[in-house]
Amino acid sequence: MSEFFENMDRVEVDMDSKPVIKFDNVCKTYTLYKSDQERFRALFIKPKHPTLHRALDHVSLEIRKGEAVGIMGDNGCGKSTLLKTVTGVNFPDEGTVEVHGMVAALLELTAGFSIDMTGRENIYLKGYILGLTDDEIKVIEERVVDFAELGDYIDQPVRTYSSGMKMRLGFAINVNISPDILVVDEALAVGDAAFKAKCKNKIREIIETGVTVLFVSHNAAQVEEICERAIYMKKGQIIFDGPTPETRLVYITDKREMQIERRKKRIAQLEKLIATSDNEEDIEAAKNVLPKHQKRLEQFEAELAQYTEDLKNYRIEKYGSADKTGFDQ
Amino acid sequence: MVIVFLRDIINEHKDFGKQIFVLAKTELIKTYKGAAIGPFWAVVKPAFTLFVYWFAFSIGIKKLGHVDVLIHDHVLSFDRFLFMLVGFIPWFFISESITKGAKEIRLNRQYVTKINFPVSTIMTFTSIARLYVHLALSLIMYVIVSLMWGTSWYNLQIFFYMPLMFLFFLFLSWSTAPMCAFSRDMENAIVSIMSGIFWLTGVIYNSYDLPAPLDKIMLFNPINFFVNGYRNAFLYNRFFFEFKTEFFIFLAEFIVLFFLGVYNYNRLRKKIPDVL
Repeated sequence: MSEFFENMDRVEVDMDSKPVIKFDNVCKTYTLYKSDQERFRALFIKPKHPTLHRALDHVSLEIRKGEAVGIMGDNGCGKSTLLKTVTGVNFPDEGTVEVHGMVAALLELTAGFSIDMTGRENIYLKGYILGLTDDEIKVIEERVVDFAELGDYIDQPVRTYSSGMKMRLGFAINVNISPDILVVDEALAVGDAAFKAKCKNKIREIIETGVTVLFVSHNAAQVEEICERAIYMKKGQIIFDGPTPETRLVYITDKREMQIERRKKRIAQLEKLIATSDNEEDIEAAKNVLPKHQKRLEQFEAELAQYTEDLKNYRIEKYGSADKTGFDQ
Repeated sequence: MVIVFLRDIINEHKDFGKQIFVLAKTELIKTYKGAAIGPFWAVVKPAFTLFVYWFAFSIGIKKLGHVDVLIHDHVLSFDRFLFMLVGFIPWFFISESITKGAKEIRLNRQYVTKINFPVSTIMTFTSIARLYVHLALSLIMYVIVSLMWGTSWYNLQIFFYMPLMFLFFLFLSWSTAPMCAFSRDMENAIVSIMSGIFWLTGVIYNSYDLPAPLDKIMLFNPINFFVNGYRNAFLYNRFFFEFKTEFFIFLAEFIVLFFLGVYNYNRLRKKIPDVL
């Protein structure tokens, strides 16, 4: 996506305005049922010792109109749950969530389609589901048809579409409804190269009009191109919230630290095996892989030192002191 | 408590009125599109079922060609076909409403897990789609009844029984659909029970004409209330309030079912996206 988001002029964010998205101490816990029997029982009596997974852990967050906020974090950090809560699919167990304005989620593009109806009928159907009136849908209908580039297929049942065509129609509807909040997932891939470029341009166009954007990615560099602010999530908690370059450095520093820890543990295991095992073959195998691990460890440690230094420099330059962080601002 | 819960359901329906009818239409299209005779299947299937039962009971078991019903201390004798026809029409709606209504949240999971959608309207628009089919079948039934038996002012009671039937089974699905979304076992339990319920309901026989205390016990089956209600309107020339015991037992069940539905829907609504 990078080349499309360079040199973007964004509308200035009014930091005194009311937040459009506000999370106040939001917790979300999933109950994991061990078996179908347990699930059935849970319908009538509360499980005594349920297995719980805490996906959001006291998340507080304010996003103002016009802000573009990136969310970084590894798999299972709570990104998806956070987005699902913003789009109104999930409900928090504790805390309050306020979302003002229409949300367009470029996550589930084909959700809500009825495959036996034509593409055009589905524009109306999806419009109704999103709460638009007939007149409003009429306005966007032609734009959607033009954008989706389906030709005569627009009046054919959606079940005859290829998956790419369905995605194109879904994307076209979602970006043309003039949302107030746009939720974009990095993994978004629609159609061929030309259409992909068209999608990126459209997203860029929407962002420039000053809608609020939530952008999710594993790739910190991508987030940096689009968002001036970023959040780093880990195990359901917001670890850091600040300017994107700083968040990115915090994220990769933390990630390296974890990797170093894991690598050290593995090396210790291997060393113990070499010292105590009776099996010649095992010892031989362990001796073979050990140098590789050590080399990686050294490399990670060097990178960590570099990132820590970068972060320190960034903070000195930005705030005048290495102890101050964007989180405090 | 219930008022707060009910408000949630009403709010979900508010501002969604038009969408409900559009979605009900798509539901019908979904069911019948892609078949050569399309909507006629809605008539062919029940007509065939009716024929099979009529054949078994009137031709197969020869003695059962007629049904005698004691109404206003008079015995009315009906042709078994007519008697069964008026019973089967509400039964088709009821059995579909119970078995399909329980599955609706699971079947429409894309609305629950992918987008922000007023979930309680799923039960409403699918019920409305079934009601359209029921209306068409009722019309056909009325033509046959008027030819075989005649018409009367009592027929207007259909406008009492039909909406009540719609609501009763809508409220039931407020309980069953979220439970079935939660657990497949619930769904299987309902389908299994329903296959037997038919024989415990006076669709092909007269539920009033059973040895005591069975005739009283039968009054507690709410399906009997509607099956006999349709017969009140079209065959028995009797008002719904004339048989007070039957009416008040039903009313009590209706109220309990309503509160249970509101309670169960709200209890499970927020958990459904997590488990579906």
